[in-house]
Amino acid sequence: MNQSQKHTIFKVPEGYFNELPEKILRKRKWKTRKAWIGRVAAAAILVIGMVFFLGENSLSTADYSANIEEEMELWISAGYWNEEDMLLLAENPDEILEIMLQEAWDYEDWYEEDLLYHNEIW
Amino acid sequence: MTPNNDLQILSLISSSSTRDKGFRLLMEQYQQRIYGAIRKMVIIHEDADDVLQNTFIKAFKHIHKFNKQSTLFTWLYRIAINESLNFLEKKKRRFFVPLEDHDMAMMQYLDKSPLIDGDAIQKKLQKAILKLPEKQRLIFNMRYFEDLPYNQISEITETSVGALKASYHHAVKKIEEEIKLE
Repeated sequence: MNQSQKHTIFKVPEGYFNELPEKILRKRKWKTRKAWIGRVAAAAILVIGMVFFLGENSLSTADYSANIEEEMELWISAGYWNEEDMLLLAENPDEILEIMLQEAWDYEDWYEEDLLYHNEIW
Repeated sequence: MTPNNDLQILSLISSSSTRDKGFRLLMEQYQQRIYGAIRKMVIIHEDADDVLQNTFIKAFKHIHKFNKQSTLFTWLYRIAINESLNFLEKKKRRFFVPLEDHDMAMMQYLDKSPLIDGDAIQKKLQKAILKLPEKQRLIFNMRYFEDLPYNQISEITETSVGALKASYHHAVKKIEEEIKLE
């Protein structure tokens, strides 16, 4: 093995590194938004489920929640609803919004385990 | 010890008003070296792009846990290694497709992709490296291509220098044998 073989053979598309930082920052923001939609949707499902449960005891909350969750997911995935709509459905939108703003930075710690920094690579 | 530009980056990230600027600076500073390390492991540009993006997103998420005992480069490199190994591990398990299929895809990429620029000898070397176990491949790349000193590789991988030296020399021997065979 000689020195000439050390030269990298791996190329990247033109302009790749110029565009990358913005692309990653956009992806991070999108992930933040997605995570919060999930959180607000969960809160809204709980509130609506409670309303139904209190209104009609003949059907279980779980059934209602499952149906509502499915329907809400359809609305979200179809792009008709966003996090603001979810907030409107929540019982305590101001509190949720306040938490969103305060915790935006550490949002992912809420649901994802931090394995990387406690585990060995090998 | 943390270099001055790392301290500048960390200082920008610590304030919400300059956080994005700090992240941008972090990426501009290290993206090419970290990409190079990932690309040598996953070979295919599109895969390296995914792994690199995930590496930085994870780094942003955990930056408050960076303890300044190492450089940001060492810390990022460690995340990149984990992401690369996890990526390759997922490829092994995906839809019961045997690992050999992905190895074959990487070999073919070396021959056919327009994003590969080497001559026949360089491609032969890369193919021989691909036949090493992943962790040996990683150590070989860090030492041979990136000229990282053993103590830095030791810090990144948390492996003793002695074990790294043994692994590297064993890898060199296997690569030389593989090249002779072809």
